[in-house]
Amino acid sequence: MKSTLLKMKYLSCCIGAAALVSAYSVSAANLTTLNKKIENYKTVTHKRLVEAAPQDWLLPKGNYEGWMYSKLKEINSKNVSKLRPVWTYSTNLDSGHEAPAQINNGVMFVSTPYNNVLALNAKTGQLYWRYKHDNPYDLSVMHNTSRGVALWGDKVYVAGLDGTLNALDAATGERLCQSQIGDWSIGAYITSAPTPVKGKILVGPSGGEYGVRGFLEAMDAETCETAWKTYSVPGPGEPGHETWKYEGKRPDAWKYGGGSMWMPGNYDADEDILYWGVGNGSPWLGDQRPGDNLYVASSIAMDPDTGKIKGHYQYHYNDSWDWAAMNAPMLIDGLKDGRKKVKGLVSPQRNGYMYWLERDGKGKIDYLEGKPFVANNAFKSLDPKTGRPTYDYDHVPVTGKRVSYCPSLWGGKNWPYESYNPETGMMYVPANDNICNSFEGKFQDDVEPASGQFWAGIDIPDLDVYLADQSKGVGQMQAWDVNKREKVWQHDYGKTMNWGPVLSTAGNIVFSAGTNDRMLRAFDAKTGEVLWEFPLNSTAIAPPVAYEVDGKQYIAITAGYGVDPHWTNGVLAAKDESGEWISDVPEGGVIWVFALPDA
Amino acid sequence: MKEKLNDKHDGIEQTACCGCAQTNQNQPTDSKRRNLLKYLALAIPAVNCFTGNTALAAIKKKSPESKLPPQIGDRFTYFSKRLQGPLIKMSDLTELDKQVLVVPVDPKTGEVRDGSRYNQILIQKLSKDTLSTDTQQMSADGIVAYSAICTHAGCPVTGWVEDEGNYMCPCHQSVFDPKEGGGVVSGPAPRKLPALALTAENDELVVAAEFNSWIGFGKPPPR
Repeated sequence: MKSTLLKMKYLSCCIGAAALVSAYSVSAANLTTLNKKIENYKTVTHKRLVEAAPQDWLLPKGNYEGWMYSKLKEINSKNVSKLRPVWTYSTNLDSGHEAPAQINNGVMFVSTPYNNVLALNAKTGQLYWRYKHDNPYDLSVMHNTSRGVALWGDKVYVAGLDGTLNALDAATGERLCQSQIGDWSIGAYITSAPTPVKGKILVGPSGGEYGVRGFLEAMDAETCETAWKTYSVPGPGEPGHETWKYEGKRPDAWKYGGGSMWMPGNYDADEDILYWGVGNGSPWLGDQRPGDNLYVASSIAMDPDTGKIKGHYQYHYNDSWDWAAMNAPMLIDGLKDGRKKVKGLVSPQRNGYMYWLERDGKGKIDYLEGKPFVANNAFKSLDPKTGRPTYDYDHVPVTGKRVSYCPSLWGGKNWPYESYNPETGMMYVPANDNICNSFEGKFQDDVEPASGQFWAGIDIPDLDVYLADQSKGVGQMQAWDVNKREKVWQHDYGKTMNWGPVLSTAGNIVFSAGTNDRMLRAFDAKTGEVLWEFPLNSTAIAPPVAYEVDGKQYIAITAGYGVDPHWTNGVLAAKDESGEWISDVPEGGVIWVFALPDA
Repeated sequence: MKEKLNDKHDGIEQTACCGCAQTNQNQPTDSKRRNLLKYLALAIPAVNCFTGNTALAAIKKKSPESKLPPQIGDRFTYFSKRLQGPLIKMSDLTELDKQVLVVPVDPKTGEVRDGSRYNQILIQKLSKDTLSTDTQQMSADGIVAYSAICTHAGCPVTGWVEDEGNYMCPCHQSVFDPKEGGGVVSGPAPRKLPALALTAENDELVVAAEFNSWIGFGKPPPR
């Protein structure tokens, strides 16, 4: 507690000085604009998070299992064509808006680029308060975004791009305490939504392109003190360290080997086990860090009380493609495996393969099956028992040689969440096929790892991104039967990537945006038919969510194009010769809320 | 870890104060520049007498001076901790090399001014024939210097587009032309990279004036 108070004391001293030099800085006493205090705020408890009542959207993915699913069905496949916007709210900010609206008993929280948090009346769109985080004036990060907040007790927790984790009073937005999780000056900035689990707030920084050794840290929700910290790359004496061979020019590669845990995880509340994703290796070239490199490109099971790693599954060894496994697998109980039913994990991975895994309730993760959902030319096959891939070394990036591979470094699917719908038994996957890239691996010895410099082992101007077949498009929505392990339907978006997280509902609808035509679409969940679409002000790359206030269902999504979707779209549009690729997508954050007309 | 962070916080406070000073300096005028050059003409020989050679024997401990923006008469050393130490000479640079990431050095004290990200600077030797007139005037025998901090989102602009002779930011691919005063060629950056006028003294690269624009992204700092 003492150190926390010291941090706050320090901040109150230094922030005023920072305000003199930057319009983005504000004084410590004025971080929050309070328009109206929230009265009778409903406390968020473990029970409520586990139950995930459909009128709320407390967690970034809706429930601890990571389903992106709503039980609400007032809006359904029969009436969705009548859906209309009922209110909007401008965030007054540019850049990529990637946070879902999170709703607690009629109060909506939205985090934004530049680390603002908005608290709004979810029914009317009226502002309660806005928190503006006091990022350092000379901050720089690769991805200026925020992917959501954590709701616990009577507080709202938001991570800062400056590597802080901040506790706000939910009623007023006042910052109560903070913890320094990552050092942004070395590249350990935070974009992830924090995850609340039993009185702790869990979050990990980015940094896989900067030579940062990844980790997940748990902060006490009341005191902002560190509860535990677990590195995704094991150190000497820890299990898995032997997969980092002391060979080559960098025998100490494990110290800066990446493996950022930069997305929120999932949680098995029955067994009390966390499931978290681990990102790419750093630098990208695997030959600069010999060995399998655990737990890079893995899902890991962890004890939420101690952070101990209880089990893992590595999707591909010695990652060389920037195919991060940052998204935690969805937890699906009763998953069919032949004649038996198992506690399953299902995950469409950035490497372009769909994985079916089994969890034993104690943290062990076993492979069941893997299937490609987009073209992957680097894997010849998967071992039928373990899922370990056999590589085609013509498509494994190495130092000193230009190598091409598919899917591109952004993967068959990037961070945008897939959705599992227990009503249809299907999983809905925002996919990108037909996109590849090439580059020559570089041994960067002009700067050190973890010095705040781009350190991915390539020179960015050397990166060539292209379509395998110019006549075909890229973005897709795929629907897979999770038990049959077969694709049921697919919608092709054409000449655009798909950066849209997916929501599915009990109303037999799949909602998603993420395409360069700015559309928010509603699909028939069973057939894939487009039932409704609406042009937003900008492309939405944030998760759509469903909630209910006073018995009425709403759909919310924040539009605001930026970061990787924006520049990949520009690169691909510039190469397009068909004239079909939309290059000019406007920026600007707007929260959109839709509902059916009153009867 | 906590002690380290406290150190960092101290740094933020100092940096903010330095930023205020920088704001005042970022209003270059011809008369001001003349005065600065006049100072430079007097100061550099004295500095050289003080330092005595082109290499620093050791980098001294950090002080508030390390957060100051580049000062008239400052030299340069490499940003890389591994390479840091020797002052950069004109003869260290050749036209075929990509831009080099450097930081200023106070020649009087040997203090490396790497206490602020805003002091990360790109230097590069280019063919004088390819430089615009204004860029030539800022350069020292074809060597140019720009702020490494991208005017879009603040990332260090370390990519080198060899075919075009341009810089590219690895974060969002803004491209800048060092031959044309650091102007924006493409990408989301809204304005050119701030340039730093150079001169030379005994083969050492020397800061001749302050940056010709404010550093960083977002709105300009208040005056």
